[in-house]
Amino acid sequence: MRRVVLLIIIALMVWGADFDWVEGYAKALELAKKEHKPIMVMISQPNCPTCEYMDDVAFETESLSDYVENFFIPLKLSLSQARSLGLKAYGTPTFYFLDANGSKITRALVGGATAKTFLAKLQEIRSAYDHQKR
Amino acid sequence: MFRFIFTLLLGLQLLFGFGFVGEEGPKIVPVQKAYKPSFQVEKGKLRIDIKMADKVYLYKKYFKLQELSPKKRTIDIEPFLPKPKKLHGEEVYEGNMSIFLPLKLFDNGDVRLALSYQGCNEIGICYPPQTKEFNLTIPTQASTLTQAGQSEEQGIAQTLKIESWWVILATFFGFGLLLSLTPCIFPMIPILSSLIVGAKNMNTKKALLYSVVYVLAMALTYTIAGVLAGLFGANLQAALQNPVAIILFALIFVALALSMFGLYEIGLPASLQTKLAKRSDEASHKGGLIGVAIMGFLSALIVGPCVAPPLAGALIYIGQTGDALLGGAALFAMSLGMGMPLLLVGVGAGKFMPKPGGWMEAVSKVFGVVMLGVAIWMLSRVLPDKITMVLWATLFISSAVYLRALEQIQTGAHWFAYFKKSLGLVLFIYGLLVFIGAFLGAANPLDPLKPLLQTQAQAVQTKPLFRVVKDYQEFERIAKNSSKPLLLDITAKWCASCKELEENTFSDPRVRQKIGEFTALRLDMTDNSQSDKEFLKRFGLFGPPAILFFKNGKELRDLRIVGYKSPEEFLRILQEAKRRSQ
Repeated sequence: MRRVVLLIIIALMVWGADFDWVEGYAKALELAKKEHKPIMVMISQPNCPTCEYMDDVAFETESLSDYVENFFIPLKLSLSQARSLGLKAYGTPTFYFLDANGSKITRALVGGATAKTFLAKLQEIRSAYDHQKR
Repeated sequence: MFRFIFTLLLGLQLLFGFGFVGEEGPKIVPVQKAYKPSFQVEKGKLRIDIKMADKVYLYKKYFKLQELSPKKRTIDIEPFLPKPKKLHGEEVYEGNMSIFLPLKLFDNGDVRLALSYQGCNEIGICYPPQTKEFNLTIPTQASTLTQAGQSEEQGIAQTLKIESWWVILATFFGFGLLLSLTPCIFPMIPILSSLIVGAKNMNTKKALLYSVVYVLAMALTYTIAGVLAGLFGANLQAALQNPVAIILFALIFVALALSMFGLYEIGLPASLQTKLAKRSDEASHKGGLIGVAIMGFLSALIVGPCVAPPLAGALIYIGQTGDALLGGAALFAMSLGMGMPLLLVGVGAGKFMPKPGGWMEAVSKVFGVVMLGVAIWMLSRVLPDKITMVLWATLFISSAVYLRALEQIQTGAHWFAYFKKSLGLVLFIYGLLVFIGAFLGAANPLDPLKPLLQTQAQAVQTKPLFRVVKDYQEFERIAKNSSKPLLLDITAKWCASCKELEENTFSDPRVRQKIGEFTALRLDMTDNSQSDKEFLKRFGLFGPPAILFFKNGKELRDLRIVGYKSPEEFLRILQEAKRRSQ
């Protein structure tokens, strides 16, 4: 019994510390519609130090990861996947914010930021999204 | 670890410096301005210059050069890249860089090349991979240019290839010599030489010349056969991955062996033989060098009951290597061996030749034994070790019995009888050892008692060395998530070299320890299923054994091992792979 409780606690910790990237563009659109959230697209590629910083440090920060978890649908795309969806990227990481119809809410964010700066930016975008909806 | 520290440092930079690089603005240097490559042919080299903008760098590992036309292939430029800098734990180039490539890497004339590269801007973004295509005219004299710059590995591979070539050529020459001593050729030699040299006003010099022409004409015929076997053999090589084909070919070898033992005769149809013999006869009457050459050519085609089976065997062997050049050279060596006694007679050294007799039958039986050996070797890929070992033991012991190893020598017998008996006894004892080894669990007929000497070592080897993967998808998933460098061993129960690797190399404690530093995966393709075949195809492999190394899911192609490696060689490659993965 104790082992089960421990397992559940560990599972909760792991689950709470991070959010899960959604599988695929279609799934993201579907969830965005259902949960009334904007989509945060991260365009990434291997051997990109800033992408790794975002994944390993920024998105592992609880305040930011909780916010993403609750207010956005996170979707990670490779350069070629993004290109096929018409999302241009000068480089990686580039962040796009889309509504449930797939249209851009704001201009893309290029590069990375610390959790704090990124969180502030996300809050800005989220309020713009809510504003547009109204 | 290094990367993690760097990641934290980058965080600090972002904290104190700036938040975002920009919002899709003109502040970032676009990739077209970040890297400006140019190409030119200069002093016998292809010079590639890449001008880089400030704070921009390129990854060494992402450089790739492809030839698009006339051939479509990837050119390995790794050895020619300049010394990189270390940045955030990666090998990179900054500022301006130049690459010099020897022109002999390329085909002469007009070529179309594509250079791919990828890098990042220290401001905090990474650029998408870029590919630049360009046309060049490679001057023809390029092929004679200096060979410097050839990587050490290529050099070694070359030497190894040449060394094994000599072994193969010498073996074929030896077989050729043996063939000339079989009952259907040896008695013909004096007759043949009298026919060749039958012309009037013959002197030693002329006789030699005639013999040489005859032998060369014969050799030419066989060489062509060897080249053809090599050319069309590539499919044979693939077919021999299939258990049914292996058994079929083993049966062919058994049939050929039985004919060497005199059970029946294999040769061209008699009608064709007579026809060719008649032509050859006519040619000899014409005389002259051309007549002799035609005789040589035709006599190569009249493959008699002694020559046909070994010749077929040789051609199958060559076909399996799929190497036309080697095929031609090997068959040429063989026919030189066959022609040797004739040349000896030609220079008048005939008196040194042994007299024809019953021993010639023995020579053809030796061929029969060799062919049975080849058949067992082929079958060892599909049969369990124990059965293979028993087959080897049977071959050794019955050869010994046929050598009369177990019979008494009559007093006053010829010295050769003693020699034969000694040889037979050695074979007999060795056969016994192999037979015992079969039941001790040995798999290598060259080392039948190994299990006896290895019981202690094996106790330690309880932990499996490799994690077995089912298919490519599973492999890819593990490869993606592996933090350690990755090693993939492709093996099968029916693969002889895999067994050697398993017994000699993977059992070595040093090797086992080093493999422990890798994520070691294994694909067992004993069933040779569709998904196994697809797996091989993805990496362009013919079959097991193969050991591939990966860094971040990308293969280190030049470290790929195909075939057997001794523990020492293997350790060296493991170390190199480990070093390159850090």
